[in-house]
Amino acid sequence: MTDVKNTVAPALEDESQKPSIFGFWLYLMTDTVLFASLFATFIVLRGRTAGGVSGEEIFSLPYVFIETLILLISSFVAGLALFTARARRKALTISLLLVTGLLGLAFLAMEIHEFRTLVTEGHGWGTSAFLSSYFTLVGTHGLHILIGLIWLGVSIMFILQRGFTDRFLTRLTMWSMFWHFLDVIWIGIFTIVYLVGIV
Amino acid sequence: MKKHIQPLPDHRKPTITAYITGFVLSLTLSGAAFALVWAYHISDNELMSRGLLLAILTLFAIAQIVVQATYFLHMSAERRARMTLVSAAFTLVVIFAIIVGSMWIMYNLDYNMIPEDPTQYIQNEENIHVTSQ
Repeated sequence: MTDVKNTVAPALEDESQKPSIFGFWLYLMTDTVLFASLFATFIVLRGRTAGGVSGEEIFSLPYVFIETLILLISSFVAGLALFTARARRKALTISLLLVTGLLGLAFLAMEIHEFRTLVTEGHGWGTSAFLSSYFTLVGTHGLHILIGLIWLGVSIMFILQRGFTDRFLTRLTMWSMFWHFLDVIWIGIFTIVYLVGIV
Repeated sequence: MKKHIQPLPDHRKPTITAYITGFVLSLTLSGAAFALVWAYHISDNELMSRGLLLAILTLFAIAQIVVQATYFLHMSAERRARMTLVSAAFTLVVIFAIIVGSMWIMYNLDYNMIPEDPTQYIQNEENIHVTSQ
């Protein structure tokens, strides 16, 4: 890893002057605004349980903590993969990306399992305004994770077939920004939806 | 394009060490937030007031977002990244308007609309305790 350690790595800063990277940054900002409106909707409707369950009754603290850990580690490994990609270490990069992807899949599986349990126990999105806004907010984040995973799969295929081209490294930088961004949104979700919901 | 980009000074280059620092900080802050809610829960909500806990959780969340933006997304106030920062500041203003504005307006609407049992509702809202006769 020594030569990896000294590389100019993810070079987000070096690349921040590239119009394409800045453009992608602007996209992330607009996506943040999308999530802000979903957060606002949730905060306004969180008490409207229509006689159904409240957050305190359905959220499990350890379960959400494990989800948080998985996503945080996944985000960290994604950053490492960008370092190794800069150093053009093919096998190492692919294994790190696979670890990132598996963690992302585990997170998505946990979220789907949580949704399934809620729906089968009769707490679907049609039950109350609280549950509608909950499913919309957390589900939109989950959908972003799914898109990130598909993008990751395509990236791994690209490395296998064509190796590290300069344009590919720029695209991988964008993907890692996207993945970190989803972790930042998750901070908002676990704090506002789950922690405050349980308190 | 590439030749216009000046290399960063060595001490500003994103390194694996910086990444690990960011990861450890995030982990600590997330863990602390969860531990606090857990401690509040097992102490039967007597650890501290609910308002104080919510304020601490908000601070923890903001700290985590700042840590991730600094160490993972490499945001900085340097001139080379100025537009990134400006767009982020603008986004923050929009987020603030959407979230705080919604809470403010909806709370007032909520307060001014007559619920099914107005007497009970007003008593709850104004903390009026009526002893039954």
